[in-house]
Amino acid sequence: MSGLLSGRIYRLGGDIELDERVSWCPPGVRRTQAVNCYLIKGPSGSVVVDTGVRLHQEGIIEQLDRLLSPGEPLSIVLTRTEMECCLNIPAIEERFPVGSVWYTGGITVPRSKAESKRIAVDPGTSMRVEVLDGIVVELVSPLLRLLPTLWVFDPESGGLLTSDAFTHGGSAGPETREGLRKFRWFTGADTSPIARNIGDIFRDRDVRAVGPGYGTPFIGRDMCLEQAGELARAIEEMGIQ
Amino acid sequence: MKHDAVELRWLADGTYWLGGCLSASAQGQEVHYHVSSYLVVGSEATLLVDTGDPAHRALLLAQLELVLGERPLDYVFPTHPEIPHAGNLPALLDKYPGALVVGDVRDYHLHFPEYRSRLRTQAAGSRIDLGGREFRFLPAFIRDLENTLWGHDDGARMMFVSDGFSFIHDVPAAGGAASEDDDEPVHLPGQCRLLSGEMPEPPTVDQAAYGTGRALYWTKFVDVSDAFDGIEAVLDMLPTTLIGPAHGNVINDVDGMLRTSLAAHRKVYAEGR
Repeated sequence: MSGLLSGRIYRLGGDIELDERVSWCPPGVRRTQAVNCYLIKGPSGSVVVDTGVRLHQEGIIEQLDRLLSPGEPLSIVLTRTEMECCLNIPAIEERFPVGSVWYTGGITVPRSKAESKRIAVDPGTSMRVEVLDGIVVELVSPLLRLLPTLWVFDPESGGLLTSDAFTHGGSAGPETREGLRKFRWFTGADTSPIARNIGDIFRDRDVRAVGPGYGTPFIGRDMCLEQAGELARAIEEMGIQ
Repeated sequence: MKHDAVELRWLADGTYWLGGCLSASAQGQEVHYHVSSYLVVGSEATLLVDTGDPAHRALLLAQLELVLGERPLDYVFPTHPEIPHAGNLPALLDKYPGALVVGDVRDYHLHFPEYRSRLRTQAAGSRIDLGGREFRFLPAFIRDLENTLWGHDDGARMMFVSDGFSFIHDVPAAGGAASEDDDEPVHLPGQCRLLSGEMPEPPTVDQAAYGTGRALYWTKFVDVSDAFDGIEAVLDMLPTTLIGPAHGNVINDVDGMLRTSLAAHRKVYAEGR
Protein backbone atom coordinates (compact mmCIF):
# COMPACT_ATOMS: atom_id res chain seq x y z
CA MET A 1 0.00 0.00 0.00
CA SER A 2 1.29 3.43 -0.84
CA GLY A 3 0.00 6.98 -1.11
CA LEU A 4 -0.61 8.03 -4.68
CA LEU A 5 -1.52 11.54 -3.64
CA SER A 6 -0.79 12.23 -0.02
CA GLY A 7 -3.73 11.86 2.31
CA ARG A 8 -6.29 11.54 -0.50
CA ILE A 9 -5.62 8.59 -2.81
CA TYR A 10 -3.97 5.33 -1.76
CA ARG A 11 -2.85 2.51 -3.99
CA LEU A 12 -3.87 -0.99 -2.90
CA GLY A 13 -3.12 -4.45 -4.26
CA GLY A 14 0.09 -6.36 -4.83
CA ASP A 15 2.44 -7.80 -7.41
CA ILE A 16 1.97 -10.62 -9.88
CA GLU A 17 4.42 -12.55 -12.01
CA LEU A 18 4.02 -11.00 -15.45
CA ASP A 19 4.74 -13.88 -17.80
CA GLU A 20 3.15 -16.00 -20.50
CA ARG A 21 0.32 -16.95 -18.15
CA VAL A 22 -0.96 -13.37 -18.24
CA SER A 23 -2.95 -12.27 -21.28
CA TRP A 24 -1.70 -8.67 -21.30
CA CYS A 25 1.98 -9.70 -21.10
CA PRO A 26 3.97 -8.79 -24.22
CA PRO A 27 5.87 -11.68 -25.83
CA GLY A 28 9.17 -12.47 -24.13
CA VAL A 29 8.58 -10.31 -21.06
CA ARG A 30 9.05 -11.87 -17.63
CA ARG A 31 9.03 -9.66 -14.56
CA THR A 32 6.83 -8.68 -11.67
CA GLN A 33 4.04 -6.19 -12.15
CA ALA A 34 1.82 -4.32 -9.72
CA VAL A 35 -1.93 -4.90 -10.02
CA ASN A 36 -3.69 -1.97 -8.39
CA CYS A 37 -6.94 -0.75 -7.01
CA TYR A 38 -7.31 2.55 -5.18
CA LEU A 39 -8.90 4.20 -2.18
CA ILE A 40 -10.05 7.83 -2.29
CA LYS A 41 -10.40 9.16 1.25
CA GLY A 42 -13.18 11.67 1.86
CA PRO A 43 -14.24 13.67 4.91
CA SER A 44 -16.88 11.21 6.03
CA GLY A 45 -16.31 8.10 3.97
CA SER A 46 -14.16 6.61 1.26
CA VAL A 47 -14.41 5.30 -2.28
CA VAL A 48 -12.74 2.12 -3.49
CA VAL A 49 -11.95 2.28 -7.20
CA ASP A 50 -11.82 -1.31 -8.50
CA THR A 51 -11.23 -4.17 -6.10
CA GLY A 52 -8.10 -5.96 -7.36
CA VAL A 53 -7.46 -9.58 -8.32
CA ARG A 54 -8.62 -12.35 -6.02
CA LEU A 55 -5.01 -13.49 -5.71
CA HIS A 56 -4.49 -10.35 -3.60
CA GLN A 57 -7.78 -10.47 -1.75
CA GLU A 58 -6.39 -11.05 1.72
CA GLY A 59 -3.79 -8.31 1.36
CA ILE A 60 -6.32 -5.80 0.05
CA ILE A 61 -8.62 -6.43 3.01
CA GLU A 62 -5.66 -5.88 5.36
CA GLN A 63 -4.75 -2.66 3.57
CA LEU A 64 -8.30 -1.39 3.86
CA ASP A 65 -8.34 -2.36 7.53
CA ARG A 66 -5.35 -0.08 8.11
CA LEU A 67 -6.81 2.85 6.14
CA LEU A 68 -10.44 2.85 7.20
CA SER A 69 -12.02 3.82 10.48
CA PRO A 70 -14.43 1.30 12.01
CA GLY A 71 -17.82 1.66 10.34
CA GLU A 72 -16.57 4.16 7.76
CA PRO A 73 -19.03 4.30 4.83
CA LEU A 74 -17.72 3.02 1.51
CA SER A 75 -18.71 3.22 -2.11
CA ILE A 76 -17.14 1.12 -4.83
CA VAL A 77 -16.61 2.46 -8.35
CA LEU A 78 -15.71 -0.04 -11.06
CA THR A 79 -13.76 1.24 -14.03
CA ARG A 80 -14.78 -1.88 -15.94
CA THR A 81 -16.70 -5.01 -15.01
CA GLU A 82 -13.77 -7.28 -15.79
CA MET A 83 -12.68 -9.78 -13.20
CA GLU A 84 -9.64 -7.88 -11.95
CA CYS A 85 -11.98 -5.03 -11.09
CA CYS A 86 -14.92 -6.70 -9.39
CA LEU A 87 -14.19 -10.18 -7.99
CA ASN A 88 -13.25 -8.88 -4.54
CA ILE A 89 -16.53 -7.05 -4.01
CA PRO A 90 -18.07 -9.85 -1.89
CA ALA A 91 -15.03 -10.01 0.42
CA ILE A 92 -14.97 -6.23 0.86
CA GLU A 93 -18.69 -6.15 1.52
CA GLU A 94 -18.36 -8.84 4.11
CA ARG A 95 -15.98 -6.73 6.18
CA PHE A 96 -16.91 -3.10 5.44
CA PRO A 97 -20.21 -1.21 5.04
CA VAL A 98 -20.51 -0.75 1.28
CA GLY A 99 -23.47 1.44 0.35
CA SER A 100 -23.32 1.34 -3.42
CA VAL A 101 -21.41 -0.10 -6.36
CA TRP A 102 -21.13 2.11 -9.45
CA TYR A 103 -20.46 0.38 -12.76
CA THR A 104 -20.78 0.86 -16.49
CA GLY A 105 -21.80 -1.51 -19.25
CA GLY A 106 -24.75 -3.82 -19.17
CA ILE A 107 -24.09 -7.47 -19.83
CA THR A 108 -22.02 -7.89 -16.70
CA VAL A 109 -23.77 -6.86 -13.52
CA PRO A 110 -21.40 -6.93 -10.55
CA ARG A 111 -22.25 -9.40 -7.83
CA SER A 112 -23.00 -7.26 -4.82
CA LYS A 113 -25.38 -7.00 -1.88
CA ALA A 114 -25.11 -3.22 -2.03
CA GLU A 115 -27.15 -1.07 -4.35
CA SER A 116 -25.81 -1.44 -7.89
CA LYS A 117 -25.79 1.87 -9.73
CA ARG A 118 -25.31 1.54 -13.45
CA ILE A 119 -23.94 4.61 -15.13
CA ALA A 120 -23.58 5.21 -18.85
CA VAL A 121 -21.20 7.86 -20.12
CA ASP A 122 -20.84 8.13 -23.88
CA PRO A 123 -17.30 7.52 -25.14
CA GLY A 124 -15.40 10.78 -25.45
CA THR A 125 -17.44 12.55 -22.77
CA SER A 126 -17.44 12.73 -18.98
CA MET A 127 -19.83 13.21 -16.09
CA ARG A 128 -19.41 14.50 -12.55
CA VAL A 129 -20.99 12.22 -9.98
CA GLU A 130 -21.15 12.36 -6.20
CA VAL A 131 -20.39 8.70 -5.59
CA LEU A 132 -20.43 9.12 -1.82
CA ASP A 133 -21.51 12.02 0.37
CA GLY A 134 -18.73 14.58 0.03
CA ILE A 135 -16.82 12.84 -2.76
CA VAL A 136 -17.50 14.09 -6.28
CA VAL A 137 -15.48 12.45 -9.03
CA GLU A 138 -15.49 12.98 -12.75
CA LEU A 139 -16.17 9.77 -14.63
CA VAL A 140 -14.32 10.05 -17.93
CA SER A 141 -15.31 7.69 -20.75
CA PRO A 142 -12.19 7.32 -22.89
CA LEU A 143 -12.06 6.21 -26.51
CA LEU A 144 -9.11 4.04 -25.46
CA ARG A 145 -11.01 0.94 -24.43
CA LEU A 146 -11.96 -2.58 -25.27
CA LEU A 147 -15.08 -2.83 -23.13
CA PRO A 148 -17.18 -0.11 -21.53
CA THR A 149 -14.61 1.74 -19.43
CA LEU A 150 -14.51 4.71 -17.08
CA TRP A 151 -11.48 6.60 -15.89
CA VAL A 152 -11.96 8.22 -12.51
CA PHE A 153 -10.67 11.77 -12.09
CA ASP A 154 -10.57 13.23 -8.59
CA PRO A 155 -10.62 17.02 -9.07
CA GLU A 156 -9.63 17.65 -5.47
CA SER A 157 -6.27 15.89 -5.79
CA GLY A 158 -5.68 15.79 -9.53
CA GLY A 159 -5.49 11.99 -9.50
CA LEU A 160 -6.62 10.24 -12.69
CA LEU A 161 -7.24 6.51 -12.30
CA THR A 162 -6.93 5.01 -15.75
CA SER A 163 -8.06 1.40 -15.48
CA ASP A 164 -6.37 -0.67 -18.22
CA ALA A 165 -4.48 2.27 -19.77
CA PHE A 166 -1.05 3.67 -18.86
CA THR A 167 -0.07 0.17 -17.75
CA HIS A 168 3.53 0.21 -19.00
CA GLY A 169 5.18 1.70 -15.91
CA GLY A 170 7.38 -0.43 -13.71
CA SER A 171 9.88 -2.07 -16.02
CA ALA A 172 13.51 -0.95 -16.12
CA GLY A 173 13.05 0.66 -19.52
CA PRO A 174 9.30 1.14 -19.89
CA GLU A 175 8.07 0.83 -23.44
CA THR A 176 4.76 2.64 -23.81
CA ARG A 177 3.65 0.17 -26.44
CA GLU A 178 4.04 -2.69 -23.94
CA GLY A 179 0.91 -1.43 -22.26
CA LEU A 180 -1.14 -1.69 -25.42
CA ARG A 181 -1.00 -5.45 -25.76
CA LYS A 182 -4.65 -5.71 -24.80
CA PHE A 183 -5.62 -3.32 -27.59
CA ARG A 184 -4.27 -5.26 -30.53
CA TRP A 185 -7.31 -4.23 -32.55
CA PHE A 186 -5.58 -0.87 -32.92
CA THR A 187 -3.39 -2.36 -35.64
CA GLY A 188 -6.39 -2.48 -37.96
CA ALA A 189 -7.86 0.87 -36.97
CA ASP A 190 -7.49 4.55 -37.71
CA THR A 191 -6.38 5.42 -34.20
CA SER A 192 -6.08 9.19 -34.67
CA PRO A 193 -9.33 9.99 -32.81
CA ILE A 194 -8.31 7.75 -29.93
CA ALA A 195 -4.90 9.41 -29.66
CA ARG A 196 -6.47 12.86 -29.85
CA ASN A 197 -8.87 11.95 -27.07
CA ILE A 198 -5.90 11.19 -24.77
CA GLY A 199 -4.56 14.68 -25.45
CA ASP A 200 -7.96 16.25 -24.83
CA ILE A 201 -8.40 14.49 -21.50
CA PHE A 202 -5.06 15.78 -20.21
CA ARG A 203 -5.45 19.23 -21.71
CA ASP A 204 -8.80 19.77 -20.00
CA ARG A 205 -7.73 18.67 -16.52
CA ASP A 206 -4.95 19.40 -14.09
CA VAL A 207 -3.69 15.83 -13.80
CA ARG A 208 -1.09 15.44 -11.07
CA ALA A 209 -0.95 11.65 -10.85
CA VAL A 210 -1.95 8.78 -13.12
CA GLY A 211 -2.96 5.58 -11.36
CA PRO A 212 -3.32 2.60 -13.72
CA GLY A 213 -4.97 -0.73 -12.93
CA TYR A 214 -1.66 -2.45 -13.53
CA GLY A 215 1.88 -1.14 -13.60
CA THR A 216 3.33 1.58 -11.44
CA PRO A 217 1.72 5.05 -11.30
CA PHE A 218 3.12 8.24 -12.77
CA ILE A 219 3.42 11.14 -10.36
CA GLY A 220 3.74 14.85 -11.07
CA ARG A 221 2.17 17.17 -13.65
CA ASP A 222 5.09 17.12 -16.06
CA MET A 223 5.49 13.37 -15.87
CA CYS A 224 1.76 12.83 -16.49
CA LEU A 225 1.76 15.14 -19.51
CA GLU A 226 4.87 13.49 -20.89
CA GLN A 227 3.38 10.02 -20.50
CA ALA A 228 0.09 11.11 -22.04
CA GLY A 229 1.99 12.45 -25.04
CA GLU A 230 3.96 9.25 -25.40
CA LEU A 231 0.87 7.09 -25.09
CA ALA A 232 -0.95 9.15 -27.71
CA ARG A 233 2.04 8.79 -30.04
CA ALA A 234 2.23 5.03 -29.49
CA ILE A 235 -1.49 4.68 -30.22
CA GLU A 236 -1.17 6.75 -33.36
CA GLU A 237 1.81 4.73 -34.61
CA MET A 238 0.13 1.42 -33.88
CA GLY A 239 -2.87 2.18 -36.08
CA ILE A 240 -3.18 2.03 -39.84
CA GLN A 241 -1.37 4.97 -41.42
CA MET B 1 -32.45 -6.23 -12.75
CA LYS B 2 -33.85 -9.71 -12.29
CA HIS B 3 -33.35 -13.07 -13.88
CA ASP B 4 -35.96 -15.31 -15.34
CA ALA B 5 -35.93 -19.03 -14.80
CA VAL B 6 -35.84 -20.40 -18.31
CA GLU B 7 -36.10 -24.06 -19.15
CA LEU B 8 -33.12 -25.67 -20.82
CA ARG B 9 -33.48 -26.58 -24.47
CA TRP B 10 -32.35 -29.69 -26.30
CA LEU B 11 -30.64 -28.61 -29.52
CA ALA B 12 -29.28 -31.78 -31.06
CA ASP B 13 -28.15 -35.22 -29.98
CA GLY B 14 -26.13 -34.67 -26.79
CA THR B 15 -26.22 -30.88 -27.07
CA TYR B 16 -28.18 -28.67 -24.68
CA TRP B 17 -28.77 -24.93 -24.31
CA LEU B 18 -28.49 -23.98 -20.64
CA GLY B 19 -28.29 -20.81 -18.60
CA GLY B 20 -30.93 -18.11 -18.59
CA CYS B 21 -31.87 -14.60 -19.47
CA LEU B 22 -31.36 -11.42 -17.51
CA SER B 23 -33.97 -8.75 -17.79
CA ALA B 24 -33.88 -5.02 -17.36
CA SER B 25 -35.85 -1.93 -18.19
CA ALA B 26 -34.74 -0.06 -21.30
CA GLN B 27 -36.52 3.21 -22.00
CA GLY B 28 -39.49 2.03 -19.99
CA GLN B 29 -39.76 -1.33 -21.70
CA GLU B 30 -38.82 -4.73 -20.31
CA VAL B 31 -36.05 -6.30 -22.35
CA HIS B 32 -34.10 -9.50 -21.98
CA TYR B 33 -30.68 -10.73 -22.92
CA HIS B 34 -29.35 -14.25 -22.94
CA VAL B 35 -26.48 -15.37 -20.78
CA SER B 36 -26.12 -18.86 -22.20
CA SER B 37 -24.10 -21.98 -21.56
CA TYR B 38 -24.01 -25.05 -23.77
CA LEU B 39 -23.54 -28.63 -22.62
CA VAL B 40 -22.00 -31.21 -24.96
CA VAL B 41 -22.38 -34.83 -23.88
CA GLY B 42 -20.22 -37.55 -25.44
CA SER B 43 -20.17 -41.24 -24.64
CA GLU B 44 -16.96 -40.81 -22.64
CA ALA B 45 -16.88 -37.23 -21.42
CA THR B 46 -18.94 -34.07 -21.02
CA LEU B 47 -18.02 -30.43 -21.67
CA LEU B 48 -19.72 -27.17 -20.73
CA VAL B 49 -19.16 -24.09 -22.92
CA ASP B 50 -19.26 -20.97 -20.70
CA THR B 51 -20.35 -21.01 -17.09
CA GLY B 52 -23.15 -18.45 -17.25
CA ASP B 53 -23.69 -15.61 -14.85
CA PRO B 54 -23.59 -16.03 -11.05
CA ALA B 55 -27.20 -14.80 -11.01
CA HIS B 56 -28.04 -18.12 -12.69
CA ARG B 57 -25.80 -20.32 -10.55
CA ALA B 58 -28.57 -22.38 -8.92
CA LEU B 59 -30.46 -22.61 -12.20
CA LEU B 60 -27.40 -23.80 -14.09
CA LEU B 61 -26.49 -26.41 -11.49
CA ALA B 62 -30.06 -27.72 -11.56
CA GLN B 63 -30.02 -27.85 -15.37
CA LEU B 64 -26.75 -29.77 -15.33
CA GLU B 65 -28.10 -32.23 -12.80
CA LEU B 66 -31.20 -32.74 -14.91
CA VAL B 67 -29.17 -33.67 -18.00
CA LEU B 68 -26.20 -35.40 -16.42
CA GLY B 69 -27.85 -37.23 -13.54
CA GLU B 70 -25.05 -39.20 -11.90
CA ARG B 71 -22.55 -38.47 -14.67
CA PRO B 72 -19.81 -35.98 -13.89
CA LEU B 73 -19.03 -32.81 -15.76
CA ASP B 74 -15.51 -33.42 -17.08
CA TYR B 75 -14.55 -30.16 -18.77
CA VAL B 76 -15.53 -26.53 -18.35
CA PHE B 77 -14.60 -24.26 -21.25
CA PRO B 78 -15.09 -20.60 -20.37
CA THR B 79 -14.64 -18.86 -23.70
CA HIS B 80 -12.96 -15.96 -21.87
CA PRO B 81 -12.54 -14.65 -18.33
CA GLU B 82 -15.52 -12.37 -17.95
CA ILE B 83 -18.24 -12.81 -15.35
CA PRO B 84 -21.01 -14.02 -17.73
CA HIS B 85 -18.62 -16.58 -19.21
CA ALA B 86 -16.55 -17.71 -16.22
CA GLY B 87 -18.29 -16.34 -13.13
CA ASN B 88 -19.69 -19.71 -12.05
CA LEU B 89 -16.35 -21.53 -12.24
CA PRO B 90 -15.99 -21.91 -8.44
CA ALA B 91 -19.49 -23.39 -8.07
CA LEU B 92 -18.94 -25.79 -10.96
CA LEU B 93 -15.49 -26.89 -9.84
CA ASP B 94 -16.74 -27.45 -6.30
CA LYS B 95 -19.72 -29.50 -7.47
CA TYR B 96 -17.69 -31.52 -9.97
CA PRO B 97 -14.32 -32.12 -8.28
CA GLY B 98 -12.91 -33.99 -11.27
CA ALA B 99 -13.71 -31.25 -13.77
CA LEU B 100 -10.88 -29.44 -15.56
CA VAL B 101 -10.94 -25.89 -16.90
CA VAL B 102 -9.91 -25.93 -20.57
CA GLY B 103 -9.24 -23.28 -23.19
CA ASP B 104 -6.98 -20.24 -23.17
CA VAL B 105 -6.60 -20.24 -19.41
CA ARG B 106 -4.30 -17.24 -19.10
CA ASP B 107 -5.24 -15.00 -16.15
CA TYR B 108 -7.43 -17.56 -14.39
CA HIS B 109 -4.72 -18.22 -11.77
CA LEU B 110 -5.08 -14.56 -10.76
CA HIS B 111 -8.85 -14.74 -10.51
CA PHE B 112 -9.28 -18.23 -9.08
CA PRO B 113 -5.95 -19.10 -7.43
CA GLU B 114 -7.41 -21.96 -5.40
CA TYR B 115 -8.17 -23.87 -8.62
CA ARG B 116 -4.90 -23.27 -10.43
CA SER B 117 -4.05 -27.02 -10.47
CA ARG B 118 -7.15 -27.66 -12.55
CA LEU B 119 -6.33 -25.30 -15.43
CA ARG B 120 -5.38 -26.93 -18.75
CA THR B 121 -4.36 -24.95 -21.80
CA GLN B 122 -6.08 -25.94 -25.04
CA ALA B 123 -4.80 -23.90 -27.92
CA ALA B 124 -6.82 -23.02 -31.00
CA GLY B 125 -6.77 -26.05 -33.27
CA SER B 126 -6.49 -28.59 -30.46
CA ARG B 127 -9.24 -31.12 -29.85
CA ILE B 128 -10.80 -33.14 -27.07
CA ASP B 129 -12.36 -36.53 -27.81
CA LEU B 130 -15.63 -36.69 -25.87
CA GLY B 131 -16.46 -40.18 -27.16
CA GLY B 132 -18.34 -40.41 -30.44
CA ARG B 133 -17.80 -36.72 -31.01
CA GLU B 134 -14.91 -34.32 -30.98
CA PHE B 135 -14.74 -30.82 -29.56
CA ARG B 136 -12.34 -28.52 -31.37
CA PHE B 137 -11.01 -25.22 -30.03
CA LEU B 138 -11.06 -22.41 -32.57
CA PRO B 139 -9.57 -18.95 -32.74
CA ALA B 140 -12.07 -16.28 -31.78
CA PHE B 141 -12.41 -14.33 -34.99
CA ILE B 142 -14.49 -11.60 -33.36
CA ARG B 143 -13.78 -11.02 -29.68
CA ASP B 144 -13.09 -8.52 -26.98
CA LEU B 145 -10.55 -10.02 -24.57
CA GLU B 146 -7.28 -11.39 -25.93
CA ASN B 147 -7.69 -14.79 -24.28
CA THR B 148 -10.94 -15.71 -26.01
CA LEU B 149 -11.51 -18.92 -27.94
CA TRP B 150 -14.43 -20.26 -29.92
CA GLY B 151 -15.29 -23.95 -30.24
CA HIS B 152 -16.92 -26.51 -32.49
CA ASP B 153 -18.63 -29.81 -31.77
CA ASP B 154 -18.75 -32.17 -34.72
CA GLY B 155 -21.51 -34.26 -33.11
CA ALA B 156 -24.12 -31.51 -33.32
CA ARG B 157 -22.28 -29.62 -36.06
CA MET B 158 -22.42 -26.60 -33.80
CA MET B 159 -20.03 -23.69 -33.48
CA PHE B 160 -19.78 -21.78 -30.20
CA VAL B 161 -18.93 -18.14 -30.75
CA SER B 162 -18.87 -16.47 -27.33
CA ASP B 163 -19.61 -12.74 -27.78
CA GLY B 164 -19.80 -13.05 -31.56
CA PHE B 165 -23.18 -13.07 -33.36
CA SER B 166 -24.89 -11.77 -30.23
CA PHE B 167 -27.08 -9.23 -31.89
CA ILE B 168 -29.87 -10.92 -33.72
CA HIS B 169 -32.74 -9.74 -31.57
CA ASP B 170 -35.37 -7.15 -32.04
CA VAL B 171 -34.25 -3.87 -30.55
CA PRO B 172 -36.94 -1.94 -28.74
CA ALA B 173 -36.85 1.75 -29.50
CA ALA B 174 -33.77 1.31 -31.68
CA GLY B 175 -32.14 4.61 -32.36
CA GLY B 176 -33.63 6.09 -29.21
CA ALA B 177 -31.90 7.77 -26.36
CA ALA B 178 -29.86 4.79 -25.22
CA SER B 179 -26.23 5.47 -24.45
CA GLU B 180 -23.52 4.01 -26.63
CA ASP B 181 -22.38 2.26 -23.48
CA ASP B 182 -25.59 0.25 -23.22
CA ASP B 183 -23.95 -2.89 -24.48
CA GLU B 184 -26.59 -5.57 -24.09
CA PRO B 185 -27.89 -7.25 -27.22
CA VAL B 186 -31.47 -7.39 -26.03
CA HIS B 187 -34.60 -9.20 -27.06
CA LEU B 188 -38.23 -9.07 -25.97
CA PRO B 189 -39.99 -11.20 -23.35
CA GLY B 190 -41.32 -14.31 -25.05
CA GLN B 191 -38.31 -14.57 -27.37
CA CYS B 192 -36.04 -16.32 -24.89
CA ARG B 193 -34.54 -19.62 -25.98
CA LEU B 194 -35.79 -19.33 -29.56
CA LEU B 195 -33.78 -20.35 -32.59
CA SER B 196 -33.15 -17.52 -35.01
CA GLY B 197 -35.53 -19.13 -37.47
CA GLU B 198 -38.28 -19.13 -34.86
CA MET B 199 -38.10 -15.36 -34.26
CA PRO B 200 -41.06 -13.42 -35.67
CA GLU B 201 -38.87 -11.92 -38.37
CA PRO B 202 -35.20 -12.22 -39.23
CA PRO B 203 -33.18 -9.27 -37.97
CA THR B 204 -32.55 -6.40 -40.30
CA VAL B 205 -29.04 -5.17 -40.93
CA ASP B 206 -29.91 -2.04 -38.94
CA GLN B 207 -30.98 -4.08 -35.93
CA ALA B 208 -27.88 -6.23 -36.11
CA ALA B 209 -25.68 -3.15 -36.46
CA TYR B 210 -27.33 -1.50 -33.45
CA GLY B 211 -26.23 -4.34 -31.20
CA THR B 212 -22.88 -4.93 -32.86
CA GLY B 213 -21.63 -1.40 -32.34
CA ARG B 214 -22.54 -1.48 -28.68
CA ALA B 215 -21.41 -4.98 -27.71
CA LEU B 216 -18.14 -4.82 -29.65
CA TYR B 217 -17.05 -1.19 -29.48
CA TRP B 218 -13.78 -1.66 -31.34
CA THR B 219 -15.55 -2.83 -34.49
CA LYS B 220 -16.45 0.83 -35.13
CA PHE B 221 -12.80 1.40 -35.90
CA VAL B 222 -11.87 -1.81 -37.72
CA ASP B 223 -13.00 -3.39 -40.97
CA VAL B 224 -13.69 -6.99 -39.91
CA SER B 225 -14.09 -8.42 -43.41
CA ASP B 226 -10.94 -10.50 -42.90
CA ALA B 227 -12.47 -12.05 -39.80
CA PHE B 228 -15.45 -13.14 -41.84
CA ASP B 229 -13.10 -14.73 -44.40
CA GLY B 230 -11.67 -16.70 -41.49
CA ILE B 231 -15.11 -17.69 -40.25
CA GLU B 232 -16.14 -18.85 -43.71
CA ALA B 233 -12.94 -20.87 -44.08
CA VAL B 234 -13.74 -22.67 -40.82
CA LEU B 235 -17.31 -23.28 -41.91
CA ASP B 236 -16.00 -24.79 -45.15
CA MET B 237 -13.81 -27.14 -43.14
CA LEU B 238 -16.24 -27.94 -40.34
CA PRO B 239 -19.85 -28.54 -41.37
CA THR B 240 -22.00 -26.32 -39.17
CA THR B 241 -25.76 -26.15 -38.88
CA LEU B 242 -26.03 -24.32 -35.56
CA ILE B 243 -24.19 -21.33 -34.12
CA GLY B 244 -24.38 -20.75 -30.38
CA PRO B 245 -23.60 -17.25 -29.13
CA ALA B 246 -23.43 -16.51 -25.43
CA HIS B 247 -25.79 -13.56 -25.64
CA GLY B 248 -28.06 -14.22 -28.57
CA ASN B 249 -30.58 -16.65 -29.90
CA VAL B 250 -29.09 -19.84 -31.34
CA ILE B 251 -28.67 -19.43 -35.08
CA ASN B 252 -30.07 -22.12 -37.35
CA ASP B 253 -29.89 -20.10 -40.56
CA VAL B 254 -26.12 -19.96 -40.76
CA ASP B 255 -25.73 -18.60 -44.28
CA GLY B 256 -28.37 -15.91 -43.85
CA MET B 257 -27.01 -14.74 -40.53
CA LEU B 258 -23.46 -14.59 -41.86
CA ARG B 259 -24.63 -12.22 -44.58
CA THR B 260 -26.60 -10.07 -42.16
CA SER B 261 -23.80 -10.02 -39.65
CA LEU B 262 -21.12 -9.03 -42.15
CA ALA B 263 -23.37 -6.29 -43.52
CA ALA B 264 -23.98 -5.08 -39.96
CA HIS B 265 -20.27 -4.93 -39.19
CA ARG B 266 -19.64 -3.01 -42.41
CA LYS B 267 -22.37 -0.54 -41.49
CA VAL B 268 -20.93 -0.03 -38.00
CA TYR B 269 -17.47 0.54 -39.45
CA ALA B 270 -18.73 2.94 -42.11
CA GLU B 271 -20.66 4.96 -39.54
CA GLY B 272 -17.74 4.95 -37.11
CA ARG B 273 -15.37 6.58 -39.57
